[in-house]
Amino acid sequence: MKITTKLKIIPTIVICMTIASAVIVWLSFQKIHQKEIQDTIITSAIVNIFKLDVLMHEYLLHLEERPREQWNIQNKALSLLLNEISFNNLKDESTLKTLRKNQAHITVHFGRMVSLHEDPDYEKNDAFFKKIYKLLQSRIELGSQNMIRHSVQLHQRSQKDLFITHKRLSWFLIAVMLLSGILIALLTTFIGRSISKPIAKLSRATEIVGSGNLDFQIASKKNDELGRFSKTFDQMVSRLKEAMVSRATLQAEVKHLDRVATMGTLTAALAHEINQPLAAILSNAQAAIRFLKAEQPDFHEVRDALHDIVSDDKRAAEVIRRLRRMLKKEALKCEALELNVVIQEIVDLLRSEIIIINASIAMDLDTGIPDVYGDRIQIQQVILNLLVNAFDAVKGLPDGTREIRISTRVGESDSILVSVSDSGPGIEAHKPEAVFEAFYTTKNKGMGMGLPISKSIIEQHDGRIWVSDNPEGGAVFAFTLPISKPAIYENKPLKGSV
Amino acid sequence: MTVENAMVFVVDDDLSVRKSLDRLIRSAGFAVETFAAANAFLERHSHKGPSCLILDVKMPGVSGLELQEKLLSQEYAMPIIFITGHGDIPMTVKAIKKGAVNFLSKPFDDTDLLDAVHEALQRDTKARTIREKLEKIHRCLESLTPREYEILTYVITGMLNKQIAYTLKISEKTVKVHRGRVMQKMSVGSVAELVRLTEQAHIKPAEVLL
Repeated sequence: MKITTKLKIIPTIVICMTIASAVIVWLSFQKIHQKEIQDTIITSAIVNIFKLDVLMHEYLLHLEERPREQWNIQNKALSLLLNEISFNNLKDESTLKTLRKNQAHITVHFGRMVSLHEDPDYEKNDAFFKKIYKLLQSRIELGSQNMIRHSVQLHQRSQKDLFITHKRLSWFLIAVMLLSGILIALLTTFIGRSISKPIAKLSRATEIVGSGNLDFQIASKKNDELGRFSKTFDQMVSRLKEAMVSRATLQAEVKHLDRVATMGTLTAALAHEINQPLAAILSNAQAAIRFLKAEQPDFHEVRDALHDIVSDDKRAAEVIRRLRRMLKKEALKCEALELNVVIQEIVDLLRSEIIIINASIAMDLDTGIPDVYGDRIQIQQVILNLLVNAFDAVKGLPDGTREIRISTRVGESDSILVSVSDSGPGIEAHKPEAVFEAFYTTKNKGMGMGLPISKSIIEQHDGRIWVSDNPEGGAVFAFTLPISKPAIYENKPLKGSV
Repeated sequence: MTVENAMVFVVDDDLSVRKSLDRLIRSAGFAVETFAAANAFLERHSHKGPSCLILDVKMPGVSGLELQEKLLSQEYAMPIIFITGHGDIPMTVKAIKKGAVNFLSKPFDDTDLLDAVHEALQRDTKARTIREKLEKIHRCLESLTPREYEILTYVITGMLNKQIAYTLKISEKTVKVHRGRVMQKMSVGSVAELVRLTEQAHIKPAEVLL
């Protein structure tokens, strides 16, 4: 159900209940009004009966024409009044019937009485007449008394009925108000909850996604506005994830490209690194053949030659293995790294380059440093970039002054400090940080991506990289790596990030 | 085809290459001595017989080319065979111009290297023989008195004793005595022999107008 529909329910119910209550109240008032009219009639009837009694006595006293006619008029009025009333219940109806019967009786008796007076013999048979007269008078009086009693009874019952009806109406109104209140409260709670719950879910989802978990989905089954909002949110998150993945893939591509490009500038040296053991293998093999061809073959020499061939082959294979690792695209892998070993591997690979450019490299590695966590290839990429930059910095210097120094130390706040310094011209002092900006380069070759990529790698590993001038001349590039595991490896790694 | 009392020196910073060269050269019957750096070679090498040097061009510290220069500045330079993993043409030209006998690119065939070694040793043997001969000539020349040396420069022009005596304004007999001593000290039997020796020792004949 839509939220707007849900929100319409409450006023609709309130309006319906109000109309229903109004109808019921109106009907009740109608009924009360009717009963009040009947009660008024009954009261009037009572007054009428009294009047009849008074008029009869007046007539009996004076035997005049006027009270007699008055009595007849009043009696007719009473009949009209009694005909006006009707009751639903049997009790009242029977009382009314008795009332009417009594009225008929007194009308008959009064008629007889009048005819008795008009009888010409009335004066003669005084005793007989008086007897009948007395009888009729007592009958009428009894009828009147009965009528009054019954009328009063009706009046009382009517009053009681009215009181009950009023009371019922009051209770009904109280009940309607209470019911409306409860219903509105329940509906508000229910509808409010059905709206606030998905909103809370959404805000929690926003927090989770905001913290970097892009695999989270709300997966709402509802079809209302918030359900659609949740679906859009899910779509947005999965698009964001796709974008992040493609961004990570792109970053990985750029890093890989930088590695390949850097290694490309070192092909002569790298070829030499493989060529050396190959040359040794060939000479050893040919020497072995010569020893075997001799009149007295020297098997000791042949065995030694073969041993050397094996170890030289392994050496060449190791160079190729390291090369391949640097050139390959591999998934980001976090492992505990012995930084000194990681550095030594790269320096070994660059041994020939150092000889070619006729530089000297000083290794100042602190053997007491703890392991760091990170991706071996990426850390080696950073060291490679810094070393190749140092080579370029010293290339133009005179013989014997081309010096490079690489050192490891325990740094501040649980980190390892690695620095690569050279005896070159140093960084232009006015803006040393610019060297870390993309496409900034002072070389003819190269993309200017080495240092920005190194920076991004180190920062991904929660480290810091900077450059400063060496007081003894040249530049010092330094970076730190934390001893603890970097945050990038704590979350589930993104697919494709290398 | 081995050369008597020969020695091959190897200077290469790479242990694998050094060991393999040592073995290959020994397999051909030569004596070998290897060094990891140029300075070590300069400090320690000593051999009286024929020798040659197999030298890596690029090494940390003193490079192969620098070592070649140092050896050239000394009195006697042994033949050098350069080996390189990354030889470029300017470097090769530079080395050959300065007298390197060969330039091999790693990896090389055993025959190429051993032929080069053999050639270098023969060249060194020849050079040593010539040097020894020259030393002998110089020793003989040094034993001459200034007057005898003067007479020698005239004798090798082909002048007769009479002409020499006339030119130097001394008696013909004196010239004859000196000439006899020269022939004896130089241990030669004929003037033709004497002329050949003096030519080898680059002695200029006296300038005379005939």
